[in-house]
Amino acid sequence: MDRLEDDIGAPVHGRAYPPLSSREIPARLAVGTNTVWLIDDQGQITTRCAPEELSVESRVGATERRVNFPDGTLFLTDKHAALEHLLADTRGSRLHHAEKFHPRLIVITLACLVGAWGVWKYGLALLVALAVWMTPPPLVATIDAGVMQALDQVLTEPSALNDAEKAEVQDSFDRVLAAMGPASDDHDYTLEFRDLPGMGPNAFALPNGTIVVTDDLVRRVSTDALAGVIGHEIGHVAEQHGLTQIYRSLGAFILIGMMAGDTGPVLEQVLLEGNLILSLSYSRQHELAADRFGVDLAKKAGFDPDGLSDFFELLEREFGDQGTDWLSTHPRFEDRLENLKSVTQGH
Amino acid sequence: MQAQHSQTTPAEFEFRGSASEYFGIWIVNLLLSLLTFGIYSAWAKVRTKKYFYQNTYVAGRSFDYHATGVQILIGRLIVIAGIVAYTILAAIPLVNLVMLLGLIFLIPYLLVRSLRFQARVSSWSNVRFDFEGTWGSAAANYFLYPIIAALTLYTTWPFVTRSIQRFHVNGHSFGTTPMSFDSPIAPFYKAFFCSALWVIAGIVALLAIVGVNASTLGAFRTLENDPGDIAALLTVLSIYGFLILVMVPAVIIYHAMVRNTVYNYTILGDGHRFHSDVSALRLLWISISNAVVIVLTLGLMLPWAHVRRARYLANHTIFIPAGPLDDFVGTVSANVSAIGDAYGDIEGFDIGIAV
Repeated sequence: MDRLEDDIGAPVHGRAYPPLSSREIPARLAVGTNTVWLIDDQGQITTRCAPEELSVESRVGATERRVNFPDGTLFLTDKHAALEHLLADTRGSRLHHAEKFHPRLIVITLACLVGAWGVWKYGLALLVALAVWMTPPPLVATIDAGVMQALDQVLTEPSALNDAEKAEVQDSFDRVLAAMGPASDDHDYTLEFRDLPGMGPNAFALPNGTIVVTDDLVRRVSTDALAGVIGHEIGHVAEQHGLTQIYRSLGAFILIGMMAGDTGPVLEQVLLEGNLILSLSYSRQHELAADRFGVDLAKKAGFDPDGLSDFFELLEREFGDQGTDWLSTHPRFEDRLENLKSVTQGH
Repeated sequence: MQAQHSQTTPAEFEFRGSASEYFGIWIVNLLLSLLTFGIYSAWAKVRTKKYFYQNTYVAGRSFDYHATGVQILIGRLIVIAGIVAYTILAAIPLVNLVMLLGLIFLIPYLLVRSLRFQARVSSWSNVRFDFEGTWGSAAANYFLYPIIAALTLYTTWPFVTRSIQRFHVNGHSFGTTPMSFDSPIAPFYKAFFCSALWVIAGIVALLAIVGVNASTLGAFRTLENDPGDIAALLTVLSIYGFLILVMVPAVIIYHAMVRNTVYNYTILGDGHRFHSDVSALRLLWISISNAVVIVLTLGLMLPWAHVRRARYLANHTIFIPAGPLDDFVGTVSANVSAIGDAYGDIEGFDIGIAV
């Protein structure tokens, strides 16, 4: 024991395992000014190192504290206070202190509930906006080109409209776009004509600004209604609904996956279905927002703001309502008409 | 050796953690994760794993978890970048098809990497586990055999399950000590029939309660014609809900019985054995009541639910040593990246491992 003369403080008892071995030996830790020793119950020194070479893991609950020697020897002890005193080690102790079952946890719990609500309500929207902003424009352009190419191969026919009809729609399109002012340069807005047999009067927008109108739409609705529809599609592009929806469902998925961790087999199912239904609700909100945007824009461009409402009434007469609304990507015509009333009559 | 006397007596698994202690760790983890927009969740995962591993004891010696927060975070960032790129590119139809083909190769690869990572960062009594299963074997077990089983209308599903468990257990080793699993097919068919029985009983109950024939089919038809019909909608929804109530428990029952079989037929090294006597119905009760309690408390009882489940599983698992526990030898194996593990965290692939 003569080598341990500068031993300071009481030794810490525990158990140790030699490197790469499951052999368990009772041992104690002793600390000198420049050396740390591990001593077995026969008083033999098993291993030693300089204090700064020792890796002490932070405390997790009441489990034994792990001390790793550089040669791979592992020492475990539940003498927490003695070890902290001996090594003057306080790393992780603040975290451990905060975790103790104490009335303070009520405050932390409330903060978590508020935080979870805030992340869901605002944080996710912020992350999504950031992701949309970071998406490189050439990639979005590639999406438009790729989707159009695929559609032309499998679904659409070339438009059968004559040049005069096309020119008239193009003129409305240019007028509506011009009403946006400088914001119209934010995206690469282009108008495409296609025949989509069996799809009826329809239009859709791709994220980079490609807006497709079907022959049926051009032939069957008034100029004012068409301006409203074009405005609606421009609204989807301008407010970046496509990318937002992709990122939103992805973001919710990733956040739940990382934060909740393992929620058990029953709840996992429920969360999965719930997320799907929620993302449909965002899709419906986007439709209503695009409706308002479209009517507003058509009005600014000098068209009759009731055009879009007339179009929905036509669709409602012809196709009826699509059914229960919380399992649908589009709101009911009734709701869309109601929504538009607030815009057209409010101003 | 002084521990000689205890070496041939069965050693129980025990879980020494408590719900109140874990609650503190969990809620602080959650707060820090929220404040950092999820970045801290990598460290939170490590802390949670450490809590559960270090509190699980066999023969008085505990498990441990060695991954670091940085490792997990890097893995997650790579996987998130991959998923985002995939999702955006998937909007382009042709590229989508090519990527889908790529995924067929990528998923078994990630699965093997995930199992290897999890094994290498886990230890018991200072000896780390390892996993050496192959990519091809994973592809066969998770893609090929299920397709073949589908051709037999899933009547050969127990063979697929047994094959998957062989892939898992035989691929693992404890230090230099190999693990092996093989069993007759009968216990797997027993599990299969028990869960099938539950499904059949559930459907019979459904028919009895809702009264199928005209009225149910009528509800579907009514709904098609008049979507606003609330009564018809409720009928259809309750059928859907009931199917979840039938299918989820059937899976839980199957997993519980398979777990028992896997433990009871696994041999570690020269004859160390395990025994598991988990009750399927008891585990089902724990799973369902856990879910109900978690929902009713806005998730605040999640830690309690985890601890309750861990304790039940540990209390019904026994290790039967065939020799001294001091003689296991570990190996130094290279670190493996956490990409596979992170992919499992986020996409949540169900690897059906019996633990």
